[in-house]
Amino acid sequence: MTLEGFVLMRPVLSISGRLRVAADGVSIDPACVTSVVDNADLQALDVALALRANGELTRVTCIAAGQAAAIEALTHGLALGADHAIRLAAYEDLTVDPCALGRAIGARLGAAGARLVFAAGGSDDGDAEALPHAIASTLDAACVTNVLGLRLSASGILVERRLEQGRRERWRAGLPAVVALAPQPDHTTYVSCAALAVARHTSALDTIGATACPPLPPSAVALDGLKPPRQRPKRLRTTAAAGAETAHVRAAAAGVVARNAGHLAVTGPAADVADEIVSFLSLRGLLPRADSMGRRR
Amino acid sequence: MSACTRDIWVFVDHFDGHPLPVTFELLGEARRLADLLGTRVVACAFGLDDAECCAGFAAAGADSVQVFATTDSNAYLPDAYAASMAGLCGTDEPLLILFPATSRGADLAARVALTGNWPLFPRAIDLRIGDDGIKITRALASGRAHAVLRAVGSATAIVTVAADVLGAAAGGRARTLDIVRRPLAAATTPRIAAGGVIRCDPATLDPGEAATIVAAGRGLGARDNVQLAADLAALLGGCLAGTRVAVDLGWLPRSRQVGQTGKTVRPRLYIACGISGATQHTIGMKEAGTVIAINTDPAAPIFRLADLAATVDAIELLPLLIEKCRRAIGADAT
Ligand SMILES: Cc1cc2nc3c(=O)[nH]c(=O)nc-3n(C[C@H](O)[C@H](O)[C@H](O)COP(=O)(O)OP(=O)(O)OC[C@H]3O[C@@H](n4cnc5c(N)ncnc54)[C@H](O)[C@@H]3O)c2cc1C
Repeated sequence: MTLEGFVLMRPVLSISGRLRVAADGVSIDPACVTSVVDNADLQALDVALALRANGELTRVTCIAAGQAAAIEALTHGLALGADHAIRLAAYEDLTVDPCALGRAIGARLGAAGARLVFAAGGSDDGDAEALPHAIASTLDAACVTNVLGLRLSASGILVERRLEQGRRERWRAGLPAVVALAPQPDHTTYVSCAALAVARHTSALDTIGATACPPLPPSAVALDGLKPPRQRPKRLRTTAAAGAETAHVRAAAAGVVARNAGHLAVTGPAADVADEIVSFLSLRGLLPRADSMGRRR
Repeated sequence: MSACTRDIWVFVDHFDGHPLPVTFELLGEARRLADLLGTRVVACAFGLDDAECCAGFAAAGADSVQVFATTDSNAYLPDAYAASMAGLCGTDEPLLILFPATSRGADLAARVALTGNWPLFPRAIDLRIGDDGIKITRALASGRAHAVLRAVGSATAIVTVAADVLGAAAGGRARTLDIVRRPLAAATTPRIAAGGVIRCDPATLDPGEAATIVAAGRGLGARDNVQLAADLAALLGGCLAGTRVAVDLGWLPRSRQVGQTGKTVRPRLYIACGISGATQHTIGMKEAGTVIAINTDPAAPIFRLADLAATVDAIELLPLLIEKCRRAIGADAT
């Protein structure tokens, strides 16, 4: 069986310092943009390279759509061991409609005869949740997401998916298929500086010029503006109904609970503190629901 | 603002007949938006035809539930679920569908969006009503910029939201729920054969995947006291983890160590018992949603990360806390 594996590498932008929005209000001042490589993409590539090492794939090709950040991502892919890289130069590094971009990439992969595509399945900005599906829908392929384990066979793929709370489920699908891998924060893939230096000068990176790239479908999403992220994460709203006097509020009034540097500080006899913690958990909806506990037993 | 006739839908993700907590966050947010627009909230549940759950949806803000019948309520059939939801979405044209950014929720959201060519807004962090429709904020550029977006035209916006981003909101007044039962639609070209769910033994649940972690540190003093932390974890449906010191003392296996040389965890709830909060530890848990720290030292660095800082003896507190949690949950009722 000769099967080429394609790996989607996303151009990932980051902001050095504070975000500066360009005069149009909807683009980022290029002076504050830097390119970074998302470890999740390298993990997807790792999976494809392991299959190649096993003789299950004959070749591994990385593909990215974009400009400087796409070149950076593909260079890392080549440095890690990909045989070939394709850059679709018609698109920008930053997208607000990953479905439209994924469709364009899917069209190109279809033209290249792709039957098995790997991609990262999670990212801080959510793009990685949309791109694999968009590619699959254009390729007319199965899309399997949050994949932890994969087996290739003559009839297709068998994958194990990660679900919440340690649960798993198995899916089987024929080829063509797009495999989106579950992010694994503790698994860092390192690229050596020497390999990167070599990859920057290799001829294995093909650039597909704007005229040869599939046209970007019209975006279904409009961008109204950009802003810096909130400096502090939003605090959770609590479930307390308006006006409800909770043990917590009572205790605050009695001085058992004090606001201290942004957090609640509780002290006193252990039994009172335990009451406060239970009340706090319940206010934040963090206690398991009674019905679920009853049925779990 | 004139009343909107297009509903707001919420996809209910669930296991073993229990909706994931994020469902209630989304229902609360949908209720908030629906009240501003004068429209209705519809919960969409597959294989969850349960009066108690439906009452929970009503209390959280739903006006109606669409129940799609399935043979195995735990099995997620991506092709059929997407065909069912997209089919109904095509005819009913809701304004917005909120999906939890869970493994299944995020997967289904993208399938539905691509089926109908509806705009997808993955991992939204804020939803507001603007003059020209709903404005959705989400992260761009590895989270270093936030983009304010909207759907082009009047297409249904498909939005995913991660747990604890919006927070739980009060459901408000109790509602009479209208329940509509529907058969599952067949996918035209099914591509995926989905097997059932493989359960995880709570005792072996990896801290990296747990929604609740009770973590033990040297302050617990002895292995027997670590069992109290394990009991609390089990009661809260979570798992036990700890510091390197707790591991080095032989109280926990290495696989349960959180921190620089251990695991990185992102639970909804992290209860640190007798942990000082050394950087090498906190680097692995600083992204936890809510942190409760229990320590006798009011100057313990862990308190800087805590949402609730309890200055108390953990060994004295834990048995009482277990008892009170058990009572609050009603786990001793059966
Ligand atoms: C290279 C390197 C890597 C490391 N990697 C990790 C890592 O991955 N993970 C990790 O955890 N550590 C790691 N460490 C160790 C780390 O620096 C700390 O030593 C360790 O986290 C401290 O563990 P602890 O909080 O359990 O103990 P301690 O720092 O001794 O803290 C115990 C706390 O318990 C409190 N206490 C005492 N009695 C009670 C009581 N009865 N009730 C309540 N509180 C009480 C005390 O006030 C104190 O704050 C690493 C260190 C190095 C040098």
